[in-house]
This record gives sequence, C-alpha cells and structure tokens, in this order.
Amino acid sequence: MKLAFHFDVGRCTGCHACVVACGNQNGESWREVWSFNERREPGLPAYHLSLACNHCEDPACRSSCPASVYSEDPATGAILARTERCLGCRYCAWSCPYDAPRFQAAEGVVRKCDFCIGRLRAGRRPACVAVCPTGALELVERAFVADILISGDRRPPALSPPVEWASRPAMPASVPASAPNVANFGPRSEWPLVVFTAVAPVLVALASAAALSPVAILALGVLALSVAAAHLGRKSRAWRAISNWRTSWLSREVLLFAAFLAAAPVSRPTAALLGFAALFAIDRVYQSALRIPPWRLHSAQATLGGLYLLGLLSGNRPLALAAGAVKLALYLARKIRFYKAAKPTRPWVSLLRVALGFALAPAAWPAAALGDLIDRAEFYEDVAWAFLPGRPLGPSAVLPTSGSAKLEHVTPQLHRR
Amino acid sequence: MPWHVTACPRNCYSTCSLLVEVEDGRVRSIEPHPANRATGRGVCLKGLSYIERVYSPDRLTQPLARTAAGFRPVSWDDALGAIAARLKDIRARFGPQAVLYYSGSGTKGLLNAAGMIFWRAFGGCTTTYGDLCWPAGLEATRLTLGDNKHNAPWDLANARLIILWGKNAAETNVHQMAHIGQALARGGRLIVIDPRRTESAERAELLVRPRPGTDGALALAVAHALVAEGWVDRPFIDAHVLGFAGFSEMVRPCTPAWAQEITGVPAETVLALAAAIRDSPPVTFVAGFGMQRYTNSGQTMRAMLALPAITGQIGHPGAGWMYANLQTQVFGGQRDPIALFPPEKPDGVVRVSVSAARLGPDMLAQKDPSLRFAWVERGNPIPQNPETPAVLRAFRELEFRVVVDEFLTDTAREADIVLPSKSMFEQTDVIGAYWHPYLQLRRKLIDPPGEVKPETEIYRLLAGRLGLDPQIPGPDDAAIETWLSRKLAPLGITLDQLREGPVLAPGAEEVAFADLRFPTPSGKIELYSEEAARRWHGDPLPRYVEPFSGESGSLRLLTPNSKNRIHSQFGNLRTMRRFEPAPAAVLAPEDAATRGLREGDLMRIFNARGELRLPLRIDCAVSPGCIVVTNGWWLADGAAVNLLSRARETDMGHGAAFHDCLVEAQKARA
Repeated sequence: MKLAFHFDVGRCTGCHACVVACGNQNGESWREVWSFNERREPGLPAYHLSLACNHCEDPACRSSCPASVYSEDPATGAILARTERCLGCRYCAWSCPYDAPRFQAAEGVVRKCDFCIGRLRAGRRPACVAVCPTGALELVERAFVADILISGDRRPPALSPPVEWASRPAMPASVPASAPNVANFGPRSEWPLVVFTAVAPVLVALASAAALSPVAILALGVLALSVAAAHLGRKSRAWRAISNWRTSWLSREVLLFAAFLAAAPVSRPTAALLGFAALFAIDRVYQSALRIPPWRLHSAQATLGGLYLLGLLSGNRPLALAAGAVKLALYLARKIRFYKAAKPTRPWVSLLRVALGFALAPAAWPAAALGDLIDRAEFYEDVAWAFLPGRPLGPSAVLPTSGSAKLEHVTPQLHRR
Repeated sequence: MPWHVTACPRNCYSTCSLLVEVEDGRVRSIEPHPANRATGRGVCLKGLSYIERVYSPDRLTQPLARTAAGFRPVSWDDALGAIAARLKDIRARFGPQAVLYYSGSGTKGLLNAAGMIFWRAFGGCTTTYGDLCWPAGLEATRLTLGDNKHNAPWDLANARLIILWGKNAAETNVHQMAHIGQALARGGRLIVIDPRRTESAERAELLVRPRPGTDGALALAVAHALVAEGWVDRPFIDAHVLGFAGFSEMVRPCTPAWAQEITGVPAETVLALAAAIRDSPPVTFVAGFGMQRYTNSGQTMRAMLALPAITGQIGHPGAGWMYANLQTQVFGGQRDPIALFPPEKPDGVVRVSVSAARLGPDMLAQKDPSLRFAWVERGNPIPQNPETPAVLRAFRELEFRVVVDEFLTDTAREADIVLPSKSMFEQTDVIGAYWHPYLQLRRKLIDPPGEVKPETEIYRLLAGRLGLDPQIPGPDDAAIETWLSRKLAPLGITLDQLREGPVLAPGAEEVAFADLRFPTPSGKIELYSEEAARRWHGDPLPRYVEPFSGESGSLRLLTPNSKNRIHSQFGNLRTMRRFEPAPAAVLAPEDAATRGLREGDLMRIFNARGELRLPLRIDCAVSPGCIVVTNGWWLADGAAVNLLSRARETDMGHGAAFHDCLVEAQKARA
C-alpha cells in the first residue's frame, strides 16, 4: 500500500505545528510552511502550503542522483535516501521542485524527509500528520499518479468596509528569505563547477580542432575533473557519480567526459563526438534541474561555447559567426530582460564579457574562453535567482483556485515563514 | 516506549490533552490524546515546543540572588534564609499586609492554592483583584445569562452560521478551526468581525471590520435591524428574556446608518449581518477577548449578548454564546468572575486592594501599610500588566522582591531572589479548562532538573523557617496525590480515571442552558439588569458608550496574541524565534504612506507614558487608524507593548482596558 501526504489548503492556518513536530522527531525539520499573500492584499486569498518530501511517484531526486542514493520503500512508497552512497553533489536538491533534499554541510551529504519510515513501520502516522490540529495534513493511500496531493480552496473574504487605496505605497516584492537549498548558492560557492563547465568546452574544441596535443588534453581534462570534484561534499565517493547513467544526466556527463578524454589520443572524430555529447550532457544537468526545456538556450551554454570555440580554432568562419551571433543575441536579450525586471545587469562586467568574448575573440581565441568564463559565472548567479523564494512551484504543483478569482492571474509568491 | 497521559496547563482556550513519550527520564515526543473531543486532533506548536522549553539552557535550575555584579547562584538554604529574615522583619515593622502576593495565570492547577494557604498562615498579605484577560466579558455574560458556560466545543460543527467576533481562533485556539471546518464542510457559514484580517478570517465569507472599540454600536444596530424587520423570536423573548421592551425602545435610534457613522461598517453590511442571522439558524456567536479590553467593553459584550437572546439562539445544538465555559470550576467556592472581585466583606487578613489592571499605580497608592515586599509567581507583571513604566516603578520602590519562574523574565530580572519553578512535567496536579468541559491530570513524568523545587515545597520549607505549619501537601509525590484525591473525592472522580485521559466535569452540559433556566435574579436572560447598574454604576440596558478618548494620538495600539506565544511565555524559545525572529509594528499601507514610512523603517511609537522603537511592517490586514504590535515580547526584546498602555479598568469586571491606548508613530532618527 503506497502512501502519500494529502494537504488540504483550505484547512491549513499556517500554525507550524507540523514543522515543530518534524524537528522534534528528526532533530531538524524537513518540513516548511510556505505562505502566499502574507501581506493580505485585498481581493487575493491568503494561504499556506506545508511541504516536506512528497515521496513522488517519479521523483526528480531519484532520477537526477548520479549515485543511485534514492530508492523507494516497496511497502509504503517512501522515497528513502541511502546516505552512505551520497557524494554530496546536491544535484537532487536542485532538481526537487519542493526543496525536499537538504545538503548537510557538516556531513557533506544530502538528507531529507524519510516519511517517518520508522513510525510508519510501527503503524503510526508521520510526526507532522499526527499533530496537525486542523486536519490539513493527512496520510492517505496513494490513489492516483501525482507528485503532490493538494485539495481545498481558499477565497478572499469580502471586506467590509471595502478597501479603497487613496495612494498605494509600494509593497516589497518579496520578503528577505532564502530557500534552504540555495542559501549559499552562487558563483563563489560553486566555483569548481564554474571552472569545470567553462574549461570543458575549451578542451572539447581544442581536441576537435586538433589544436592541442591529446596528452595535454588528457592531463588538463583530469585536472578539470578533479577541480569539479572539489564541489562534492564527500570527495572520496566521487567514483559513485557514474552509477546512475540510466536516468541521471550528471552520471552521463561524467561518463561522456571521461570517454572523451580516453578517446582523445585514439581518434579525433570519436573524441569530438563524445566531447560534444559531454557538453550537451553538461547543459542537460542544469536544464533538467531547473526544468528548462533543451531548446531554451542560454548564452553560457557549454555546447554553444564549444561550437563557438571550435569555429574560432578551426578557422571555420560560418560556424564561429553563427555560434557567436546566437551567443551575443542571447546575452544581450538576457541583459535587456533583467534591466526591465529591475534585476542587476552588472553593466561593467557585461561590457568586459562582450569585449573579450566577441570583439577580441577573432584575434585571440583565449579571449573568447575568458568571456565565456564570465558568462558562466553569471549563469550561476542567475540560477540562484531562479531558486530564490518567489519562484513558482514546479509545474507539477497544483495551485488551488477559488471560485471567483483564479490564482493564475497573479504570480504566486511563496514565502517561507 | 511508554506513553503517558498529561495536559497542557497554560492560560489557553485549548488546554490540550497530551500523550507524552518519556525515555530514559527525558520527554521525547508529544502528541494529542484522541479522547479529548475538543483537542484530540492535534497539538499546537507551543505544546510541541515543551521539548525545547523543559530542557532549555536558559531554564533556571537553582536559586539566584541579586548582587551588585548581577545574579549569583545561591543555595536554597541561603535563599530561603534571606527571604524568611525579610518577611519576619517586614511583618514585625509593618504587618503582613505590607507583603504583596501576586500570582498570574502562567499555569493552571489546584495546587496553586498553596500560595494563599501559606500567606494566610503567615498572617495575611495584600493581593490583587480583577484579571488582565477576560472579566468584562465574564461579567457581561453573568449579568445576562446568569453563568459562564457554553455548548461543548465540538457542537460548533452543528452551527449553520458561526460569527467569530473579536477572536482569532487560528492563532489562539487553533483546535476550534477544526470544528469550524466541520461546520463549513456541512454547508455552514462563517462571518468574522475583527478590525484585522486575521488568519481566522481567511475562511470567512465576510469580514466585518468595525473601528476598534465600537463593537457595541455594531451589535445594537444589528439588533435594531432584527427588531425593525421582525426577525426576532417573540415566543422565546416572552418566555425567557427580561427587558425586551426597554431594549427595543433603546435600539430604535441605533439604525444601521447611525452605526456606520460610529463603526465605519457600511449600513448595508449591518443589514447583511442581521439577514445572515435570520437566514442561517442555528447561530453560534463565538466571542473572543479582543473587544472586551476597552473601557466600554462590559456594555459592548452585553449588547452582543442581546443578539442570541432576541433571536432565541441559545440552549440548543449549534446555537449559543461561546465565550467562557467554566463548567470545570467544580472545586467549591465561587465561580469567576465573582471569585475575581474584591470580597464584599474583607476578612482583615488578606487585603484585596490592588487592581490587576492598575497594578503599578495601585501598588504605589497602598497605605497603612504601604507595600514593602512582593512575591510573584506564575506571572510576569512588569511587561504584561498595563502601564509597564508604573509597574516597574512600583516594583523598584519595594524593599524586597521574590520571583518564582522557570526563566529569567523581565520581572525576575527585577527580583532580589529568583526561585526556579517546576515545569508542567515535574509535579502532578489537576487542571480544569475554560473552553472544553474536561478535568485533566497534569502528571509528573520527569524529575525536576537541577535544584528545582515545586512551589508547594518552596512554601513548606519557607513555612518551616518561619515556624508556621500550613496545610500544604508534600514533600513526596504520594502526599500530593493524596491531597488531589481528597479534592476529587466529592466529585466522584479518581486519579486513576484521570490517568487514562480527560474526564468530563460532573454535570457538564453538552448543550448549555438546554433547560432554558438562567440563574439571573429574574431567572430570565437579562437585557435589563438592575445588578449591572448597581454594581457598575452604568445603564441597566446595554447602551452604547464611546471607548475612552481622553488622550491624543492618531493611531490605536492593538496588542493581539500571536500563535507563537501565550502572553509572555514561549517567545524566548528558539523554536518560536525561527518563525518570528524579531518584533515589528504593523501599519496599513495608507497610514505608512501618510507618514512617509517605508517597509523596514525604524519607527518611534510613543505617547505620554512611553515609547517603543520598532521596524515597520506594512500589512493590508490591519485597518487604517490602527497600529499592531503582538503582545508578549519582553522588555529585553525591546517590544514590551505595555510601555504604552494605560493602567485603567474596563467598565465592568475589573478587567484591563489594554486596547484603549492611543499612540503616535513617526520615523525614528537613528
């Protein structure tokens, strides 16, 4: 009998009993209450979502984990983390739409809600469910395929006297809070990844254009991989990263990159093919974690960078021009979008990036590589924004609607309280 | 692991029945006891935080004595020796009534009586009357219905219309939201009346927001509409209501338009309220404490009580006036609120002369003898009683102060000796409730940490030093249980029964006033009350009077409770700090705009009595003209709200008119 949390948004008052009960049970709370419309804008309902791990039918953590850490308990459907396998890459934490897996800096591994599996096996309900005073959180038999079971509705109360704004002061767009998984996420903390993902296209382009000796490629490639391993919480378990090639793009990335390095001294076309496949896998790692479709391009994408450098290195002007033009267009479009959304555009950094990556690049290809390094670092900054509170829940989350006002009309800003 | 039955003794509606897991002498987990039909579904975050609270590193575990360099741990011998010497000296010089015995509502239990047993043996003392919390509503209910009781909490599911008036159950009585949810699931309706858009209002079809303190006018206008439209229950009125003729005469000018002027509630909303009452019986009026903390609040509550009276919405399932349910006050003596009033014939031993609402000024005003010594237990009066600056001054003028507490509260910080008190798991006691009708055992499950002694033991040891022999049980658990068993015996309840779970108080009624007997002087519901006029020098009819307006200030300070605290308890725990890290003052967007204030700006909130400096939070939940700071922050947090409130009683019941408090707010210069 597979079980699921069932959450009734109509009953939840945001009382936080579930969060405290989880902390009492587990030493730290895996559950968070996210609140919508905390400032009670008239005409909009206010509601809360109590989220822990939803023990999904097809969990993103399990498919993204390169080390096959996650498994499903056949008796309950609980998605359990076999922490002894975890290398601390945090890919599961990025992939989960509900921020359920949490990186434990002290231990170097990720942990998450285990559905109170010990209690379930003893015939008791999870701690959060057992204390919910309003019955908003319940344990149900999983009846249909859904990542998250939410029911209930909320509509804003009619206000009497009605509210009329004489002069409406600006409300803050979001309260300062940070999603647990990305509190410290950014180019500084993730520099090993910035370096690896910027160096990999260079090596692939150099190998494909036969512009560097295969031995040097192999040496630099191994160095790049070890730099990337600095990102791991448990470096000694890095070898486990290839164990889930069936579903994890991270496993595929590592395998393909290793195969590229191995092929470099043997066959240039094979190496080029494997190298670009590895770059594609790098891009898929981030796209799948952020649920971005592959055709939505980013100027700092590894594949695009590899093609641009290949064009420059091999003197293939049409390729260099085409890839460069796409990159420049994407870069400028992003800056304009950020400017309009009042996000920081970092004009001086941008100018440097454009000068190096596009103006100087035809004369000296390393300038292009440096420009891409800047772009890549910016990419990690932007990824962090994507994670910050205010991010809509993943596409699988069912946002409640009310009779009169459909919530789709507003950007659901969810704040952790 | 073994599960033990106990109950949370805090001053809270819910008074939850709990199952507690104890392993190796430590409390490991806390869950609801399903046998309590009112609270069996869950436990609030405060109840769950006991695991932190009991083992908090901040918990006091040994007596402390004030020295020039701060508090210093001392032995019980030294602490009690010093206290005994002071008490003897003060009694010899000024008489026992120079000692103020102040006990708050921090924890429930029959053993709380040990305090007064000791002080009587000592020769007497001075103590307080009235109550900070709810007496205006209690007295209004007593005058109108004759007694404070209501239908069982779970009966709310039978209501077709619930009017939640001045109560934010989602934060102060979260279990009630489950019963409201049941009513709504059955097609019932919810209307909330509150100046704030509270969490409880989120499920309401209508949120009526009267100007604070004008709820009485709103109630009278609804009554006007009911009378004018003929939507009253004539047979019920004829049989069971006293004073309807005078009342309907009085409300004749109280039109919806009149009420709109006073309350700001549109006239059509007043009519809509009346229509909802007509359309959706049975109606339960769930009255909270908010609107009875004004100088006009006794009359406000009497006006509200008129609504179930004239519509016959009382005495049957799903209907009634849900304010206080004192059906567990079964251990003899008078029920509240009478028990809170000064005795009509003072006994000359205990001087009941200090109003809790006017604690500071009244302490300073005591004469023959003036106060020299204070003993405080189960309370934190310095930040919690109105007009904190006056309370602080009064405490500082004393010669000696003893505070018994689990933590170093603001009041404990002013003490000469602080004695560590037990937690709810460290001594067995029997507790009642004021919302559900269950008697419960608050059971000893663990030994007190460090040198902590329960209050009974503190009194026994102190009595020994003073050569007294008061009838206080102790020292061992068996003696406590024997004492409790004797108290329970007349009720036919045994400790063994209570060890299993909550037990309904003898005679508890699932539907209150089902027999339509009202223990008032007339035996009827009294809209017209001679006693109201005699005792409180007001109108025998619930005529509308304006709340106190004898001071200037453009904002009314409201100090509601938060789900994260019970008054000043729990706020010091990390568990709560996680959800509410720091205090803030909340304004409506337009009030912030007119003052040029932006989110996060440091504000000066002040009046003649004091000042707070708090960051601004803008929230549309707050009605214009109000500023909201939640109650219970400590002086140490920089947000003790009673620095601003005024030591003033409500018109009835000797309550505290906390919300009759006007302030100004402006941007603070850093």
